[in-house]
Amino acid sequence: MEIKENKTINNSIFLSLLTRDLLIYSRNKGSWINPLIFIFMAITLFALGIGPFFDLKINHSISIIWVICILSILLCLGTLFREDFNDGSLDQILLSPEPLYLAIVSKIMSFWIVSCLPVIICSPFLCLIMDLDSNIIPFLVIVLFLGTIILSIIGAISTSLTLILNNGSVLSSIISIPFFIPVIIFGSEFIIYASQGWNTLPTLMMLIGLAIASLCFAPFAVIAALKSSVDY
Amino acid sequence: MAIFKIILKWFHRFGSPKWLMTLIDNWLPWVMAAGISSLVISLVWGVAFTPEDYKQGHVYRIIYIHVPTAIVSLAAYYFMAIAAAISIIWRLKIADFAIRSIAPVGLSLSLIALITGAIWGKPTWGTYWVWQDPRLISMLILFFLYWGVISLHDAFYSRKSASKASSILILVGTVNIPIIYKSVDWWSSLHQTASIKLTGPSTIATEMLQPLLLAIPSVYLLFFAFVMLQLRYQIALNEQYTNWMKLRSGNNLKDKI
Repeated sequence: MEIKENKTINNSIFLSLLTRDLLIYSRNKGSWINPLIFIFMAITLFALGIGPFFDLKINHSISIIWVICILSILLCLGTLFREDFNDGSLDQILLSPEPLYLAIVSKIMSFWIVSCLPVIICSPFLCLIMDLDSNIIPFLVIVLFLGTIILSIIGAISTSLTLILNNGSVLSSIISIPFFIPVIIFGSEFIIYASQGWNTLPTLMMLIGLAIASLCFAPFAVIAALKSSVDY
Repeated sequence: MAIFKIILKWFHRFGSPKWLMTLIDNWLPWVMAAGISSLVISLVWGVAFTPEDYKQGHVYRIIYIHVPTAIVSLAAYYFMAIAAAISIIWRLKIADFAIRSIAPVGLSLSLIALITGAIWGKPTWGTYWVWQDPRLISMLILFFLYWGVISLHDAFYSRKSASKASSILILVGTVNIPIIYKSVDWWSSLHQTASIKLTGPSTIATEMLQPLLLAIPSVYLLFFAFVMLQLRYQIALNEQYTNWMKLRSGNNLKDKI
């Protein structure tokens, strides 16, 4: 009986953190609406910057959507551990006997649900306003799904490294952008291959592999970085 | 076992900034002189005493700067990664000084490689820069990584957290560099493939190769000399309140007067 109880406690660190974070996010509506609004505003800026006679090729509009999504993730990543660090609950998470790996993955997952999932759900609409072909939509959804997972996991490393700095947001972007490059390359290639009707399976495999690899290894770097940030 | 003890003793000695400072004082003039003289010899040899390339003419002679700096700037990252691993595992102060000293030298070497590559690219490829080439992009990313390491290291007030954060960043970068390179390699390449191979015959003429083989170690020597200069500055900056440092600077002052 006792062993069983212990097991339920061990399993619940992931779920309890997830429900707590989602509750906090749900009481602050800006946290999930603002990234969406930012993306629409940035696309408007692009359209206005290109001018009234804009004649975008398919690659251009896809890469505009893709890069704007990355920028919105970079902007949102600052909030990932910030509140927990300020009110001290991050220290409690790091001190707890529960597996830290699960705690970090749950924090990243709640971040992803709040700031990336709405974007993925709205991405067909993004395709429509960028005048893209409708049979590209499923491929864009796949790319955004895998890509945002990888980007939020990798971005968590740089945010946790710059956590104790007051003006760390620009620095955190400078640090993390080099690591985003493989994702950006494979993602845009996947959509371009799909739009040309070529075989997309190898690129898809690469994206899935990158997602699995970053999910396996990056949380350990995040743990090390958080520990160094907390006891500075 | 005796060898192990010697290595351990040597390793422990490296933990002492004072010992390293005297080592640098003894070695720096020699390494610097050897590096500069061999680089000058290889450059004069390469520019004046090698035949003209039948396709590229005299332009190819920039290879004697471009290739060594590119090689050493890549190798510098791995030296920095070793220092980062030592700093994270054993918390040696010297390893952290080494990180901060290697990064600016690597940054400038990668910048030299990028600029000479652009100058070489204009007459041979017709453009200064192309976005389709894996080697150009990965050198640019290496430049960004060095810049990230330096700015992260400088952003912290406390030396301890600076060293921890930048060593984590460097180690993450070490894991990522092959992935980045392979991902960019996926694109079609304009850059010529490597001409010098350890196994199999080189595709470069022997007369052109000989000065290059001298230029590579001389740039390595210069790299070590500049890292020593930076290390001396880092030690002086961080140990300025210790007794031996005060004595040393006092002595220097006396010498000057």
